[in-house]
Amino acid sequence: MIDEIFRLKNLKFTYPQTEKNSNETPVLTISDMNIQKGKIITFRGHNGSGKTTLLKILGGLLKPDSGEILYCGTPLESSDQNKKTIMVQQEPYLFHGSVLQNLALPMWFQKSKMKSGLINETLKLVGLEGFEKRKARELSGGEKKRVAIARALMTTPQVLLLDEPDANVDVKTSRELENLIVHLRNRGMSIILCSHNEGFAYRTSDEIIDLYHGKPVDHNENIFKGSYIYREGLYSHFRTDNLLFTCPSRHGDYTTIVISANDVFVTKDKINTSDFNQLSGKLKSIESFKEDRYTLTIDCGVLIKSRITSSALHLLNAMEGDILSVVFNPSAVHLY
Amino acid sequence: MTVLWEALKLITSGDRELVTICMTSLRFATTSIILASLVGIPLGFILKLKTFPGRKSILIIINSLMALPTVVVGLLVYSMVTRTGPLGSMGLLFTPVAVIIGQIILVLPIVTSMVYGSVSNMDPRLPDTLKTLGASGVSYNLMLLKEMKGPILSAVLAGFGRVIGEVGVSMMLGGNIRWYTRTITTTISLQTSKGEFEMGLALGIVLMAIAFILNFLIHLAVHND
Repeated sequence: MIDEIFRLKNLKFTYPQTEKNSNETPVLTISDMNIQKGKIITFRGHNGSGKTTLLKILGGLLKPDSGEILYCGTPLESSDQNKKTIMVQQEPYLFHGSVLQNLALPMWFQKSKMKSGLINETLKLVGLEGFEKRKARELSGGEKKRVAIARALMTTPQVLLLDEPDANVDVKTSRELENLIVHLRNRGMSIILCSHNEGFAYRTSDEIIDLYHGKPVDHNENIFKGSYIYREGLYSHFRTDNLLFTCPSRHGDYTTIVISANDVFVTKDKINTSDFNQLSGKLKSIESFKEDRYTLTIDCGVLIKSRITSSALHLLNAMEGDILSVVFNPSAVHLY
Repeated sequence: MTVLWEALKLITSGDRELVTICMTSLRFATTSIILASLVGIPLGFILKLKTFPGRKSILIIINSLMALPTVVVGLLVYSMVTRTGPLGSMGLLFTPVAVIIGQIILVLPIVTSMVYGSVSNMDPRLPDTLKTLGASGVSYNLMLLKEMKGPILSAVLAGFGRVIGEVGVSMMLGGNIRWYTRTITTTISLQTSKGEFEMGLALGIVLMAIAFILNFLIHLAVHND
């Protein structure tokens, strides 16, 4: 069984107006990327890093210059992917007319029969019950986004592509959209989105793919999902499936912690330290990063990455399979 | 003031000739704008959305033809439909058909160019939204038309305003024949030359009323969009 929804190989894309300039760097250069089915994948990156372009390519709205895209193992061109993948733009375009008309149109486009009550069910799902007769273009920014998502859901797509769903909406709406996205994933839908909002990306995503100048790059973070246990005082706890982390005390309902790989220290011998997070595990891999930097991956029940310099690696004198002590301060644990 | 009073009396009395002239003008203008729109609207879309050899040349020609004087169109069609012209055997000269042909030639560049301009300014999110939601072929094109009905209607109404107010084509190709090809503008021209201003002024008021209604409709169409 194929558990990947998209597989990208040697993909290159350059916008047409830049073709004449042979020195122009392609907007996207992806040698190999695998996107898992039934997960929330977030593309993250600076403006112009190629996030939206990549979403459009996956949605069949742009054709790459070269490379191969497989959708569930079948080349994109020969699959009926365009009926199963729907993209919701950052500022969605809503058709003139009512919310009801907007939701009914995709069924007409795809010549599908509409089940009775489907529109009401879908509107209820996105929290817009009773909005059927409202003029779609007169809704607020957050409501428009939800109408666009509801419209996309009408034909039950397998993949939902969301371009910055959290952009230009207030905190409350952003949280509601997060819950909606997670709910859709739990119903089996694959969701690929791009976002500038770190909190949104960390909380919702099963995987984050960083893009830098159109190329996927290794991100420098350890991200864990779990539940926050608040305690009065300086420190509280965050529990994942098999680990308990010490983190700063802060009121709130947090579901995700992020620890920068730069903040994770590794030693061969267990050290006595005032740091509160001490783990140990087997060194799984040592990978060269860039400019005198290495990424160590240690299996402590969960995989933890540490980024160190080459001189530190030399001093550590560790090899794959060695047992290492992993130490990081509670203040290195960021709550989202 | 007496002339104005007489003109208003003509309008309110429902003078048969005045009504016939107005209906003839409206019939010619409506027919020509419908036929020109049937060609001009798709042509405007094609010129913007499709790439083919000669596209830019067609655009330049269409934009140049927007400034074409009505008498030049009249003269051009006259040379074709006159007895000695290539279409002379069809006996079209001084018939409503000749006037409508001339008006179509006059208004087609306006409708095409305005639709082209509207499509150029189309919200770039619209095509992507339609594609991602699965619209294609007929449904795609119908949705483009539906979503752009405001600017397209503006183009059609602007074209209608141009033909209802033109005099050169109607005069040269229609011959200003009473009860047959006499239109509002040709009557105004004739009556003024005869020094009989009442009918001319009455028709002028009707023409202004039509222009006002057109502008109101354009405003309404654009506002609703």
